[in-house]
Amino acid sequence: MVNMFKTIKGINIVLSNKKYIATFAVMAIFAFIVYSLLLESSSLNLLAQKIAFGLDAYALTASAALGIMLSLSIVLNIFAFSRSSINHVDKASIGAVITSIAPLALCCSTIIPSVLAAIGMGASAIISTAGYIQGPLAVYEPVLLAVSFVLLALSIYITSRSIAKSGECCVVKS
Amino acid sequence: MNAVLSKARVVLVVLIALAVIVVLLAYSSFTASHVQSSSAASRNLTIGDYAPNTPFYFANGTESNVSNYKGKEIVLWFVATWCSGCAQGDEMLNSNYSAFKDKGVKVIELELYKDLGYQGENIASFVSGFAPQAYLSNAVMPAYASYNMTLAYDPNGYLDIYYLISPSGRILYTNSPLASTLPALLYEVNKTV
Repeated sequence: MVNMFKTIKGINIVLSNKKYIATFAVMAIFAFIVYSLLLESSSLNLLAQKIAFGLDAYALTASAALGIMLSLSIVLNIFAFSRSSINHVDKASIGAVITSIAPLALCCSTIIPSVLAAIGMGASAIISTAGYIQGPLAVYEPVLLAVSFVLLALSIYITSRSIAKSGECCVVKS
Repeated sequence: MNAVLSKARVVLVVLIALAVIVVLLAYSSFTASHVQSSSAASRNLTIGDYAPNTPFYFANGTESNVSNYKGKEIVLWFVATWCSGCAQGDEMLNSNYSAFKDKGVKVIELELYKDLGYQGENIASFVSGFAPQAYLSNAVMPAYASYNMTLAYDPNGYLDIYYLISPSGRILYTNSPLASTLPALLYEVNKTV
């Protein structure tokens, strides 16, 4: 049975500090813009148009959820490290960033073909193999996003519990 | 000491992750908006050149080639049917297809040779799904690029690259991706037709 009490307590400890709330807000907005760019459009200009006329529900929900969870996870980790509540790299958080960014950044951009060219592949090889890498990333994008949600939730759960456990000793000064 | 090292390590990891994200986005954005110059460098195909006369196949199986469109202004748009950006391009075209139709400009939406190695849905259902009005009005025609056509027009394997071809067969304009550069394409179409 997952005990959510310690998770909420840990988050409360961190977000009771104005400095961490501000960091969380700025990072959440930044992450939302980055995810919206990757999910919904290919330029800031088009993103601005789409925000003005309405992002589609999938892009809006996924960008907002990923942005909030990623920034919360990072802020919790920064807090935990600053208080030495944990002393290991949060692999779930790093994994979540990779699984959420990889399909969005790599599937339909010029990155993969450029990398293939950089390692010496010719045009003929590139046009017959680039899709092997990009295609699955595009097709399984929702699955990879779901995995990143789970990893972020796991990261938040583990880190906030660590903070809550050592929270009684840590009076936060804002 | 260990705690200090761990903190330094996590700060380093976060900074590297952020740097990688920013670099990837910047690189992707830069190469997308400069696809004209970067791709031209590798194949010497640029604005003012004659469009290579290569074969392609309409979704109904009819074979055609670029020279069949001499005397007409056309847009050759190269996509993969698993590409979400290309789907967005179709949605944008669907909202603006009358601008092409009114000028008599045909958009030929070409699936890159074998979808660049990862076969998605067929091009006809892709176009009719994301640009139904443009498809029904015949403003956008789904087709398959041959191997030679893919090699001639898109040797870098970039997705969502397009060319505006003049009635004399010269390349008037090229850019990528369609969704975010459609206003610039429409400007070029209005300027030349």
